[in-house]
Amino acid sequence: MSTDHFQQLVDQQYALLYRFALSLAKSEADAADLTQQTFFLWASKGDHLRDRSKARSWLFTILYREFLGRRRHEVRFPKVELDDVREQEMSISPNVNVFDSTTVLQALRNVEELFRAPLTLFYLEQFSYQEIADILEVPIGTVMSRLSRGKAQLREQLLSNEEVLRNKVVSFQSDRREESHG
Amino acid sequence: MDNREAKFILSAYRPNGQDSSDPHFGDALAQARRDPILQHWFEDSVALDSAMTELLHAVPAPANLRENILAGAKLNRASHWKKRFVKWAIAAVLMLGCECGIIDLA
Repeated sequence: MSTDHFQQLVDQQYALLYRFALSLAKSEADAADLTQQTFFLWASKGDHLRDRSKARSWLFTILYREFLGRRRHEVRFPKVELDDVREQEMSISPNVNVFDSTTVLQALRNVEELFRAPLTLFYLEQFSYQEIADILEVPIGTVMSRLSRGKAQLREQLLSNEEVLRNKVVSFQSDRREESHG
Repeated sequence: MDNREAKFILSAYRPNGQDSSDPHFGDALAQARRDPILQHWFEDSVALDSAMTELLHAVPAPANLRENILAGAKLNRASHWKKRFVKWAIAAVLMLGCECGIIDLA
């Protein structure tokens, strides 16, 4: 592959891959390392990919596999059965306007890992359920289930963050009131 | 199809409308059009998804990451060619050795 083509691919994908890695990894350094490793693997193996239009999903697949491989060394991968789907009440929507990207990313990182990967691919790259299924190598029904449950967990996270923010504002206002009276 | 099933399917519907003609979503979308409560939930869900997409795209990548990737790949490429050269050199020496009768592979 030519250097120009490689550079073009890096320019197009590195920030998106980094954000995906950041949602999975424990730290920014780990995320940057995963992103770099993905491109190095592309540089050594990507030439074998005949269909260049699949480069984008190939990169995301490789990054995810790399992440799983590293994670297996740390802890045993948790097995979560999808049959025990409990009804998630998703009727209350959090007010996303009160959050910034850091808070939203943190809420996403608090979602269980199994649901976080499809959710990040869905939000970041707007991958379809079929593309997510191909990247994560799971059936489309599983992707839908994980998206549904992941979104429910994300809502819970955002709602609890919203609650914390609201309490902070209330306590700040009451402090100010006390100061002005005192 | 009940609302629970429709919510399950619509969770995979992308906020920019790329999936509007996907037959997998047909029944769930029709159900949402018929049921105002489900429709309200769906609109909320799409709005939340759009906001999430926008906010996550605002997460900055480290300033030096791009340069590190390009520099690392350059090094890898150089080392790849070096390894290849060494392999070819060994092969050439072996062939020459066989040819001259110095090495007997049999």
